[in-house]
Amino acid sequence: MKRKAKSFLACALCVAMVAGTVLTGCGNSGGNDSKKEDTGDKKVITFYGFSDWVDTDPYKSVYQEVKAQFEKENPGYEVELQSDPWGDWEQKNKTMFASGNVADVFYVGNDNFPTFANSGNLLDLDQYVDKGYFDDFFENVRKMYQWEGKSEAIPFTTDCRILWYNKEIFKEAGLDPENPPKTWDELRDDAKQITEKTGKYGFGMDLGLKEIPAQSLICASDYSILDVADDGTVTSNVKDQAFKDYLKLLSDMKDTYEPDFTNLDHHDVAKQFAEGQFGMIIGNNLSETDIYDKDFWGQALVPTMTADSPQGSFGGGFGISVNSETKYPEQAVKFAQMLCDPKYNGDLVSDIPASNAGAANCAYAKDDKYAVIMDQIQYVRQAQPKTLYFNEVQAAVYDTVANVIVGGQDIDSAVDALDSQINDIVKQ
Amino acid sequence: MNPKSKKKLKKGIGSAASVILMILLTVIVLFPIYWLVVTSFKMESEIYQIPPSLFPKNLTFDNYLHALVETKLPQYFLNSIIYTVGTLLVALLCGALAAYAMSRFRFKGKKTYLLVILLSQLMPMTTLIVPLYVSFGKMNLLNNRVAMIIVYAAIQIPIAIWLLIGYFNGIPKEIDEAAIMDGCTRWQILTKIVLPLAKPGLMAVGLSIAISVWQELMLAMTFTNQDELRPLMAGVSAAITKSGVQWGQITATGVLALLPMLIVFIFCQKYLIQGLTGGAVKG
Amino acid sequence: MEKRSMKSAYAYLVPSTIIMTLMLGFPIVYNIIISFTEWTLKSSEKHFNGIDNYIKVLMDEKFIKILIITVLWTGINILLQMLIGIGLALFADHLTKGKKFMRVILLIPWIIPGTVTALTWKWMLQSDVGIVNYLLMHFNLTGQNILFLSDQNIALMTLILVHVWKAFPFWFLMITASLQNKPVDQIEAAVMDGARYPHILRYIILPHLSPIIASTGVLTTIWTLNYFDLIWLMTKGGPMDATSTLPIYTYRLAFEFNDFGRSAALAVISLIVVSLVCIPYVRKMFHNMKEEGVL
Repeated sequence: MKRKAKSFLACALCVAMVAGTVLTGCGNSGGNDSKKEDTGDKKVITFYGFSDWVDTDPYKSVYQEVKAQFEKENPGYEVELQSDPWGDWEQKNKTMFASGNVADVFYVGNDNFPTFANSGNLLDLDQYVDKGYFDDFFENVRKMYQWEGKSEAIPFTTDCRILWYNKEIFKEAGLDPENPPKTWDELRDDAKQITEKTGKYGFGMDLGLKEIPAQSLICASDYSILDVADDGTVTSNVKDQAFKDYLKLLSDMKDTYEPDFTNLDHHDVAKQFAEGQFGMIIGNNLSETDIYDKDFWGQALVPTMTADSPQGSFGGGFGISVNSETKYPEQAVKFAQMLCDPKYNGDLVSDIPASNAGAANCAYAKDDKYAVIMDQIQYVRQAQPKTLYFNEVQAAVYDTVANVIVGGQDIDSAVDALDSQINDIVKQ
Repeated sequence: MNPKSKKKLKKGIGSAASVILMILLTVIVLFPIYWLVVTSFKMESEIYQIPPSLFPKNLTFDNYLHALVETKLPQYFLNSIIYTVGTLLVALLCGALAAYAMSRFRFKGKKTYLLVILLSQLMPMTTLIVPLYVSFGKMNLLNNRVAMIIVYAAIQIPIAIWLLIGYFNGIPKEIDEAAIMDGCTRWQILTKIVLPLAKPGLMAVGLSIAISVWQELMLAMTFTNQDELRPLMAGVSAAITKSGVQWGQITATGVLALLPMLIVFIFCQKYLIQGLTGGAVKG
Repeated sequence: MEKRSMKSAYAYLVPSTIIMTLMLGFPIVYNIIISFTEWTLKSSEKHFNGIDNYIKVLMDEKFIKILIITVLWTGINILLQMLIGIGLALFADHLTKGKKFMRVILLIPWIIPGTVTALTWKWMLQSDVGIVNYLLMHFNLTGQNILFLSDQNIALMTLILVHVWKAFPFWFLMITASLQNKPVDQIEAAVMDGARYPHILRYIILPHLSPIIASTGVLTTIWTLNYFDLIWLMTKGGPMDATSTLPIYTYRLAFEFNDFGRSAALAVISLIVVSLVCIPYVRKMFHNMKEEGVL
């Protein structure tokens, strides 16, 4: 009997310990999830972003400034800034969406915008902002954040890619260092000439991220991978000659890539360019490198498909959205607008503000070395419109490019396969 | 050559071979760690140079300085210790109790229980994150140290049970029977006889638990969002930034995260051996 | 006596059962329910859709490839981990000098955080900037860069070797611990009888190790099959899906394509696959336990 009692006692203790810890857990969980209880008579608005901006200097202090200013202008309200490191942010943001535990105001990546908007989780901003509020934002970027005719995010930032080239390598290859390629054909010829004459890598390609490779090249044309009709029907354009040309260009240049290119991402390529290892790359401002301390670099607009094609470059970036179930929509929208105010916008991000006034007021506009970037930024767009299948189409295009330039698949059959794959995706 | 010296020669060759093998193993195993340490002393620009340099050209301590001063590494460090020790206590206690029952009692459903807890290990952690986040949110357990420990323990208990059964089975039942004759209770047998004898096993399982909790990243980043509650791996995570992997930062943090575990290892190594000498199980 | 024993046996199981039900049981059941539900981030509504998710996942043209890669990844990995782990444990056990040193050295790869391991190795294996290729070429072992992670024919093997480097210490530790109570008397008697080492190994040491080999085998199989960090950080499943295992694709379905229903269905399928892979070990374990009169 005694024996039994003792073992039961031991187990009971363990159970009590577990139960106890769980219960005390409930008690002491302070300020955690985004649906935070209001403290005292303050009404709390939560904000969620990634710490590279929200919690890292020099941007951090500006976020604090905006928060203070907002709280001053809206007495009784308090903003709580939350953030996670870049590498965890997207997954966590989606986890929060999936579990219905979303912050009041948050960054939304342009790639995931259609998904979030379609779920009804994003507030329709048109009824809260003044008429004409969106007029000053870049047209192409603004369109990325509209869903079924409603504006559901304020364009916060964008960026663009330009052609970077190494003047010394150009000279070495017998090319004119003041005359970078302007079209796809010139790009191909120059890249090949560099590799043949110097043995260096002519063009810095990267397949390390599952995005459409060298997307800027497609953007520098009037071609789009998908068309969306007014009634919502989506058609695939991958059988167009333009897309085949894109695949052909990438596979023609293959010998000029660093052989490990499937494993490099754009940061690696940027850093290796800064070390003088590539003739040309398509990259953004290369802020991750020390390139501006060196003098061999030249910049140009992204080479266009043909001499007659319009300028273009891939522009990504983030919008600011408001949770459709926030308790204080009016103030939440105000805070979102404040973040996108040209006065603060440029100092809150390492990208470029997506409005004319904001862009004009940011650090890039004030420095000559970014002149080409500021020139290119007005032409940003993406190779496919915003649809619910955005990520699936992107992955399918990525796989096709890999099949062609890594696996050596023939372009026509690759394109046929991609076309039927996209039709399957769109049918769902 | 007489047979004696032949034998000696053979022995000599044997030990020379094992010395060479030891050196070779050490090099293969340690080279990546050497590279990790060397990179942590390099400047960011040197990391991308061709050819790569085997020794830092300009030795810099900036990466360590940055990790220790500008991030909340000391706080992270404390949290890592709390999570690891907490999980060890809960998981080893619960695991040892259950494994003891499995090893020493006959009861219905034993096989089923073993299979079910094994099944619980089969789902990739990435798919359990959303359901766990939902329930944590509902129970208000986000940003809670105790909840983190319980989750970690839940993941480790099945492993502890499975491994400890093996060790407990290795301890002859005759010892139990003799102890019962002497008037020991089951509980006393467990605490006074079986657990001390299973010490090497407990150490090994404990180490395994400590190591996986110490390096866990995904759960810690998902279920906490305050630096005050995050473990060391948050420092590693923070080095993967929007403008790429900060090699200097990530390697320095990696080395700093490695050191305490290494010390524990060297320390436990002694215990692993000590636990065995003078054991009644020998032979 | 028997009855009482049974009751107190259940009592010993109470604490572990509570914790596991709460923290593992619930999410797993929830996950299984989700697998029969149409749930994507595109819509805030979830509704039951029968086995649609399973059909979609199984009809996916990548599924078979991913399954094969998963089996290769797990099989080769476990084989190498086991052979190297056991071999080194026996080797270290034999040493008279440097035993402790070897034990510490061989366990180090295991304590390096997975994220750091993956990124460091990735960097070491790059062409041009990677140290491994540099050393290989410096000592004239290869004439040109080996594309360890970009060549679809060798990427999987590279990842397996890196994972073996990281994971063999667990085998080493488990076997070393088990070798501490090897039947010394039997071995001495066999040596007296003039038995050679391979025989001792085959008939005395390995049978002694077999229970721990079985249980370590179960665990490492599960861990390896579900291992995510290393592959994700080093290749993201590429090039051309040559390293896409079930957990990688499960993750992509949920967090790239926002389809939690399909992701859950794939997770359930992967659960079934792991169970199948584990059956031989589990049988062996139960067999051992029966022999010992435990079961």
